[in-house]
Amino acid sequence: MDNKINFQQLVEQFAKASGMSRNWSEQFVKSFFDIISEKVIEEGLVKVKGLGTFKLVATENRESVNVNTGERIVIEGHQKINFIPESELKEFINQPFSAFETIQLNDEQVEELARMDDESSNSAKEEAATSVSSDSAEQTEVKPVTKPVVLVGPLLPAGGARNGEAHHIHPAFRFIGKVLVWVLSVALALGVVAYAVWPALFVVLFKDVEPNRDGSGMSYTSQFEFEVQPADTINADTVIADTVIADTVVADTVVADTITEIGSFDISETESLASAEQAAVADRTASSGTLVLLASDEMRDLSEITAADTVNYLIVGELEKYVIGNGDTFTKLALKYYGSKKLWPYIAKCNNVDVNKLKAGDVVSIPILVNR
Amino acid sequence: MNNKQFLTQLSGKCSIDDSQASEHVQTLVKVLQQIWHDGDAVSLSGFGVLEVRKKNERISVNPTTGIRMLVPPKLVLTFKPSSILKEKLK
Repeated sequence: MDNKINFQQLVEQFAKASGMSRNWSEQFVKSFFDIISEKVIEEGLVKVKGLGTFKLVATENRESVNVNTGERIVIEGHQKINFIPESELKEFINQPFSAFETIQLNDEQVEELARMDDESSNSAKEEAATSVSSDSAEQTEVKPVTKPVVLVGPLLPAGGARNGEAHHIHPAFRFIGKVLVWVLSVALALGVVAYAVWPALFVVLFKDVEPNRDGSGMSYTSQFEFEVQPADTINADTVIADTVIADTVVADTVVADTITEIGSFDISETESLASAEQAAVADRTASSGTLVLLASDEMRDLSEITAADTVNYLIVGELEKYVIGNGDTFTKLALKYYGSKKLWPYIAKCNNVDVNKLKAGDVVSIPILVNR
Repeated sequence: MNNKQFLTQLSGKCSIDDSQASEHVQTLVKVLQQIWHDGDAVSLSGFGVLEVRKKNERISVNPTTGIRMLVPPKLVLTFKPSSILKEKLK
């Protein structure tokens, strides 16, 4: 698989298949390809039965843009060699995939495909969301929140509320946010009760995960496997939030008894209380989950953990050095350390490197980000 | 240049007759097919690389009717001429 067969190897295989001498085979294979390359240039077309057609094709002048300078350049017309395999050969090559056929799509299917893309990126978050519940339920020691950070996000439509991504902070909301934090925490508490009592709501919210009730708890399987603690052990005190914390957070002591992020804030009078609660719970667990999970993953002291789903951060120091491995990208690192792909530019900025020239073995530093 | 002319040229170079040349060409093509079937590429200096590549599935739209089609993934044989051959074109 994926080997490159060179001329000598090809001659060897041909000699074996044809039963001719090696010298003669070498001459034959050599003339075979020599004639093709010679004649395709001289005559512009060579047909070989069983293989296909080599053809000389002229391209016209075209304009392009120099990617580095942004300058417009003209690529002059030239001739190039095209190869069109015979249809029999084509079919033979495509045999492994011959079972597939072109399908006509209607609009719903197109949307579904788009949604599948979306959800695959959300699934990681949902996993985090569920594991936070168990994490926090296990907490025995509760650390006071030293520096609550209040983040106020713009309205998310009810349907998209579970997607706890990308709340851009609007400064005007900050003040209102503080005032309403407590109102919302009450709402959240109610929401948690509703959450515990009606797991059906959960099913509605996480349609793509199959709930599997067995009295004491639920287990979900999706891309990842995880377990949720019994719902009644989750109470308002342990459900946390996004404002987690803290100087000396050791992962296990992460907690919070305050809710600080207000996710779906503009939910107004027009929305029913129930749906507001649902949205709030889902949203909150989604984003807090990311953080707590990260914290427990990292298992090290962080001077500050910030919510992953906002945009404005200050770089205050270095979390650690990271050696780039094969296939690593800044977006992957951002996802790993901050829980959001969107924060990769901070890593790039901190390192001042050309993103496109990153190679395996390079050492980059991962910055500590603090909410502005 | 069609297949017949090609065989004539080939037989002239290798001192065999046309029908033998045709047979040997078929043998060579079979050998090549086996190589591609195994997922390997044929790389010949001075000529180029003949390689099987996978094309991803995609959604295409018929511009006149607006109907969307899901085109399945497929394997295609591609030829990439070597730089020496490209140089000769200029």
